[in-house]
Amino acid sequence: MNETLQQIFDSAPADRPRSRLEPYRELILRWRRQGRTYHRIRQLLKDRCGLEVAYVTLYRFIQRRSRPGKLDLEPEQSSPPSISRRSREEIAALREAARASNHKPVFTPEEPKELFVYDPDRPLTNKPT
Amino acid sequence: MATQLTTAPDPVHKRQPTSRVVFTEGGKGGVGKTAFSSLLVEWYGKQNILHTVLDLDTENKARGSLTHYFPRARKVNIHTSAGLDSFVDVLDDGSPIVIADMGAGAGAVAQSWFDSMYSAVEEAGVAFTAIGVVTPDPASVESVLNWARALQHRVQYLIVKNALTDPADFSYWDNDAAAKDFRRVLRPKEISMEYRLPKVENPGRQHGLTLNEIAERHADIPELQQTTVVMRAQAYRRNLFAELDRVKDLLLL
Repeated sequence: MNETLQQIFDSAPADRPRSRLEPYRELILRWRRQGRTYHRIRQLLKDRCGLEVAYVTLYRFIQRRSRPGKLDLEPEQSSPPSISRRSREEIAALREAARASNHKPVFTPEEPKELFVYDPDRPLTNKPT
Repeated sequence: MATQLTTAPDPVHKRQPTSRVVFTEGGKGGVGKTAFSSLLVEWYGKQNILHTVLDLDTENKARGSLTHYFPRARKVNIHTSAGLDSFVDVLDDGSPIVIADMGAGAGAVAQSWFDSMYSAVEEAGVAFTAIGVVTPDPASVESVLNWARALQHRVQYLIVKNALTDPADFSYWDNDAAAKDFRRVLRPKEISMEYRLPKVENPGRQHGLTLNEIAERHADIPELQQTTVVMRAQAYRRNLFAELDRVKDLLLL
């Protein structure tokens, strides 16, 4: 990347997190891994963090962030973004690494599965076949 | 036995589950479902894993159902329109594991619930382990096969071979073609529950005492304080816990 483009790139403000829950991501996922329910996590966010979100918002957030293979581009810390946000350079480097590693999950259709067929009218046998 | 292919609309484990419901298949009565469930509850306790216990056995009101051993177990009548929704409702209480003991004859209700609710519940991250208890009685094998026919790949299967006699003859389970087909297609894991002497089993059942309570000498019953009874209880517990450790991937998240 030439110098001018680099300057434009560096001067662009970082995007705000797309979800208000993003700063609390690790906290939320740890609660969920401990087995806390969506309702309980929602209540904890309200009580402890002063953050009110709809159940469905929290549900979708956890579902998306729990997908295997999703590359972690966001801060690991559970503290607010103003403290823990990575530098733009770090984020850019991670994005490059993501592209290079072709980490995007690929959709693979489910293999057909064999059904178990059982006729309850047929008497069982205990003789080796 | 003839088999057929399907597009498998309900594959197990699209992703890592966040909760697990472990339930006994309520088919044939008297095979040891509740005896096994009570030990399973104690195994989870030993692992320090948060769990909720559901007693879905409405046939046995007092002795013989899980609430007899664990008063904290919630009694649920599944013969209502939303009875088995309790599987999901209790997950909201914060325990990632639900242990549910079904009574005999719960098959039709449970299978109908799976048909209508499974997709939504699986989408919410709940996985299921169905526990089938087989004994030398061929009716117990038929019950397990009937459940498997209805549930197919929607659950994972744990088969408990419960030796009600000594020695125990599991030839129907071992040799029948349909049972073999079940093992090939749905790949259950199998564990053994050894024969337990009546001097340990019967007083425990009568007084609502678990094997753990007998093994730890918490039983305030003279016949359960005999040294050999306590030692037997300790051995039964140790051996079954070792079997459960072997299949813990079906019991944990």
